[in-house]
Amino acid sequence: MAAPATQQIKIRCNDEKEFTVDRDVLERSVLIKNMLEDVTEQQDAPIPLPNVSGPVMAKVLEYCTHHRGEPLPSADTEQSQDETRKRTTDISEWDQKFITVDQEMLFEIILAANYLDIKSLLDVGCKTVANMIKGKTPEEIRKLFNIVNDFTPEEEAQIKKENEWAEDR
Amino acid sequence: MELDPKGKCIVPADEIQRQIDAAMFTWNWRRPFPFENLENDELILELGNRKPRIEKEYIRRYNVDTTFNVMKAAIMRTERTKSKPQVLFRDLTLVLKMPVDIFLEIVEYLHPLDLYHLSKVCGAMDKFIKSHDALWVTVWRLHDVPPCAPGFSFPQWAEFLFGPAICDICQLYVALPDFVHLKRYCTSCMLFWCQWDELQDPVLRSVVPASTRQFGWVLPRPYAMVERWGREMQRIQAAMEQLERVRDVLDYDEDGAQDAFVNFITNAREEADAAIRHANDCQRWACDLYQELVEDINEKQLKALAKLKHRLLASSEGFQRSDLAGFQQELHNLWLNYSLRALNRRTFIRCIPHLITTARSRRATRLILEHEKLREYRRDTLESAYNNHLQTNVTPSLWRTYPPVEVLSFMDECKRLIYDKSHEEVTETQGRDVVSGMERAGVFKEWYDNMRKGIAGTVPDGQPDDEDGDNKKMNLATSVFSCASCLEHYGSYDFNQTGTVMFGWDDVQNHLHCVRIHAYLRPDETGTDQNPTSNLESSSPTSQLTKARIGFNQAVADIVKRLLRRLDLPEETTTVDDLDKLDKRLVVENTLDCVLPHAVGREALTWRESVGLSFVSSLFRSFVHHKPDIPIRSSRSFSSNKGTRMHLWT
Repeated sequence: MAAPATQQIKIRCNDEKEFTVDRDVLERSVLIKNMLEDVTEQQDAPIPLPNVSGPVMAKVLEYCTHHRGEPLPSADTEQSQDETRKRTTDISEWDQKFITVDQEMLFEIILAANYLDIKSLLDVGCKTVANMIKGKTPEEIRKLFNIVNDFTPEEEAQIKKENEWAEDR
Repeated sequence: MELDPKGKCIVPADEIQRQIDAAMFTWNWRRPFPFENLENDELILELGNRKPRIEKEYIRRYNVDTTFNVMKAAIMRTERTKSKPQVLFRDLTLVLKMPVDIFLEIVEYLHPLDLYHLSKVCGAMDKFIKSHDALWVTVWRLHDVPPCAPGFSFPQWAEFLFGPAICDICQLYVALPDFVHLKRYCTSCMLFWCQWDELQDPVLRSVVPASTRQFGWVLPRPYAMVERWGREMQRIQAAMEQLERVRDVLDYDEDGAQDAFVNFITNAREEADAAIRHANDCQRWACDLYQELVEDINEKQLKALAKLKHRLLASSEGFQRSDLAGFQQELHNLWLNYSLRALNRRTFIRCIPHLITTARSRRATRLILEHEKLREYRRDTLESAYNNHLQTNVTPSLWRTYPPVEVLSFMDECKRLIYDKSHEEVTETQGRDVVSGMERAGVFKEWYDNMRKGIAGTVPDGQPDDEDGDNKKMNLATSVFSCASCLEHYGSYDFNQTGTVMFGWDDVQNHLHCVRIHAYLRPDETGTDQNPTSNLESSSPTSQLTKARIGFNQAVADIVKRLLRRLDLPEETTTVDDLDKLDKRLVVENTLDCVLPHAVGREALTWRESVGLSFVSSLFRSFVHHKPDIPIRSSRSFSSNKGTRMHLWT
């Protein structure tokens, strides 16, 4: 007996770009999954995603396609899994390659993952950014975020002296 | 002891009070214990605003400007190594433009230390981070950092753990905080402020942990402290048990004081147990980080030094491993000298020139020693070749016309070979060639002639230089010499040294190298001064140095003349050999103990010793205006001396 054909779903991004994707791939997104469950009738109209652009959606779909079939976190186990997940900032090799993009794209992906409610993709994005902040002195973080220091010179001198030893870049 | 109607023991009220006082005293001295946290300001207020002000000069002089936090350093090293982001942006400004929930999601992955650092970025960020308690709770739960101590908020606890490592009172450097007092106290502040002077009991005094601060972070001794903590905990528990014993004497109480006291003890014990457990956990955690950091630093040091050593060994400067030994200690010294707090690339680069200079200095010393050793070896080879040459090519009768072996290394031809700058050794063949070459060039003959002329030049006027070179024919009265070098070295009163008085050419032979060595050391003064020095005693020290080192000794010559007259021997023809051939010994009496100790008790002396003794005696007698005399009394051979007795020495 032939395997049942996977349902194809159309989605439309905010730049009018449309994608036709397998349903199980799209269901990595809790947002779309809920939408599809709410709609009982078969519709040909594409699902509008006004907060995601075409290039970002392509990246997101690439991620979803690669991770299709992996178990989604259920609501009851979410708390414990969340803790376990956050204990490590390790990112798998494929994910690392996937997330090696420019800064704008990285943040677009994070925002899209947050909007589409793709927990694992959001984790990858957040871990990547967190890894860039980790182990840095306040001065280094300030440079990274381009933040103007508003501490008094005395406070600043104290902090600088504290972290003098770590300036081995 | 009285008993009440129920049979219980009745303890006098004053005894109860005394025991309670004793227990409370035991309790009070531990005032700054965890469940009685004093704020810094409170403490300072209590101490009467006596917070010491640390002046800049003091900081500079005593090198106390360090705030290095061991725990922070260890965590940052780990985090930097662990994270290693695949993507690294120089600019993350977009993070701040993200929705708050996503920003919080990102910072939840950070270590508490990173959160602490984030709060130090700017005032706004500080407020934002500190206002989200849930964030701190999550971050703390997800990382292996000791939980907050009672009474501390998360930001305060982070400040305590990761803040500057300085004493809360005097701001001196403190390696690890005190997790019992929950303060950073240096040793002196701990002893001064936290231990009561009147607390004389050594056990109770030692319960107060003066824990860790006296140890610099470079000293890997934290585990000793952990062990000490175990002992302290036992002592604290012992104090608790002492309190418990007081309960037994409270049985008589009817006003519920016993229950209150039991509650007090129970609560205090629980509180103390929890605090001690927490302090122990914190201490162990800090010590582990400390150990980890020390090991990491050591490993990095060794790696960096190995790299530097490899570079130096591969360079063309000719370093050897021995030049680069002990570099780690050298690095530690540099750290101490330059107040460097940690090994990183910048500080190591700063140390490299010093290390290289040290290596060069050691190499220079090594090369000097090696070259000196090589010269010594060359000298030995040359001397060996010379000795062989004397034995194989020169007849014994001619040996005296060759320079002593010690003089050889001062001759130009040999110096050229010995002090050659190359690193090649000298072979026996080369040495033999040089010696043969010198002989062919007449160097040895020239040396002998110079010596002979020099010595002959010291003979008093009227004694012609013997042109045929046989100075042995000089008569005894004109062949008495002294060696100035030996006189300077041994002193004129040391008659044991033959340099003081020499008779004839053979004696002089033994001292020729003294003259020659001085002549070589001062090339302008050849030691062949033709003006005879009649009397060494009369010549000034300067002239002794600048003129010939061997001079005619007029005083002894006079004594010899009188000896010859007494023996009825001709002054003009008797030689040293003639007198030696007699092979007789002269009896001596009235030896002066003070001038010739070795002659005391001896019945006979050689004629040389007799003359020498007379000379020394004359010097001695000259102080008391006595005429010198020859202390001989008898001689059978010299029968003309009637009334004297002579012993034949067989």
